Amino acid sequence: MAGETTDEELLEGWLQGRQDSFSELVRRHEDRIFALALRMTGNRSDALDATQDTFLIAARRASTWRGEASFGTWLYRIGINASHDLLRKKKGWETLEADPAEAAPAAAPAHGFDEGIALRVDLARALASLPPLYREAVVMHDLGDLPYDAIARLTGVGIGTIKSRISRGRRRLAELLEQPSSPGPSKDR
Amino acid sequence: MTLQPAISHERCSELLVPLVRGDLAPAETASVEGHLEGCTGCAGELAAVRSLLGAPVEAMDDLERARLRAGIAGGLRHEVPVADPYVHPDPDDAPRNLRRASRRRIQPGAWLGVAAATLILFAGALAYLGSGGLVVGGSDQGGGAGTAGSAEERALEDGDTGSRAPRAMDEAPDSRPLRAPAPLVVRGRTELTEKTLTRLGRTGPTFRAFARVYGSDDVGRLQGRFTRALERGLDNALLGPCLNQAIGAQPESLPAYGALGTLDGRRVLVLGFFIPGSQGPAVHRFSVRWWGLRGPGEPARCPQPLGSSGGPIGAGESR
Repeated sequence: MAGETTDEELLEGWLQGRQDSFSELVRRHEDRIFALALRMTGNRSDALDATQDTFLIAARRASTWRGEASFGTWLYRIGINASHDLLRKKKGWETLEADPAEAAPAAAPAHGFDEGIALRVDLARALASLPPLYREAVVMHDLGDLPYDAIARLTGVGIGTIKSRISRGRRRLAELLEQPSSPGPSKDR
Repeated sequence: MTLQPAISHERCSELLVPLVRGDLAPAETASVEGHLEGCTGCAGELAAVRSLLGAPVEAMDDLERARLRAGIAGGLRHEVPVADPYVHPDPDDAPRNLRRASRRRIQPGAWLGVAAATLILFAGALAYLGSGGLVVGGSDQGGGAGTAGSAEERALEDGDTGSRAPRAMDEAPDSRPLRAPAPLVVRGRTELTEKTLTRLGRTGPTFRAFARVYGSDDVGRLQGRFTRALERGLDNALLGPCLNQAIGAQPESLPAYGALGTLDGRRVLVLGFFIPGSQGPAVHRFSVRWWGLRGPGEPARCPQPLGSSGGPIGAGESR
């Protein structure tokens, strides 16, 4: 059934009261939303929370999806909002100074070498080390495809500020990615 | 040799994502690449964008996946999809009371409740479909029946719309609804008094729900949306102009309540506003204004209000 049913049909099933339809939507999209949330929040626990919020909000608002964008795109936007909302209330959010201990990334691989895993871990660590406001702007724009004005509305600052955060965030990210990685313990798993 | 026009750092930065994705026209690509040759800062940005877009996706492990699915299944117990959009603010508005649930989320071992949750959800969906009801307007109190202090208040909070939260939500044993409160719309034959309207603002469920959830930082974000919700719900020509008049007089107002009814024998439009205190919930206030309705064909210009009331939510009263 799942392979032949579109997201839109599953959403319609949920609107008619079928939980299995929504569960299938969760299975299809959970990894992508989690990856987005992980990059935005910088730690796996918050990413799980944001992912859960995303799907519950989508369940609640299923009837408002109008089909202008694909279900996946719509859900992605909700994921960005949910992650942003979760970040906004975190202690220290107002400061641009990241707390490296709080932002500890996922653990590095214990053995073997895989270029993909290395890049993933390095990127996770670098993103987690970015000041949260920079990280949020970079992820929203570069991964979430949100335009500057949408990010500005969402975060309540001017477009110029958003452009500046994205530019500075990327440059800082590039510096962090150039630094040699030193696997540290994760405090989040 | 063709010289490419120079572009600024800002423009270069804007074009990096489409450059990496191969979405730029050849001329734009050349301009960006020309800029990158002499700009180490933008070249660094490009490296970061390439890393972001090229990195593999991080996956959940099995335990995380199980916990996530259990948390969602538990949350779905409280969710009944409804078709009326204006009782459901946008995703960026809603999570505040969702967050209350979020703190209960994803407990290890939550799988134990999944089967029960599934049964409850199906039973709830059946009850909901059986009730045939969609919420027409409401606070997070599920219509507020039984919570207001008087028959008038119950009528005001319920309206004549038959509005109720879905029955399954009302009857769940720990069913703090997850919806963010939205403006309540009351249409029809409701008899109003000034005393009732004041009491509605001071102790009515809608305003108390707003006071629990919203603050001054929400006003700008929600004002337009809640205004449109009232406009859709009441569909009266005076509504828009009178909302503008009231918000113009008190810009920090968040529309929370709209009613068409009768006061002292006259047909009136009533609008209630939640006014968040800048120093915390203790000083949240309400304001209720009412205007006389005119006959058909009259210009839709908002007159001076016939009356108003206001005061702190939860205690005290003033005219």
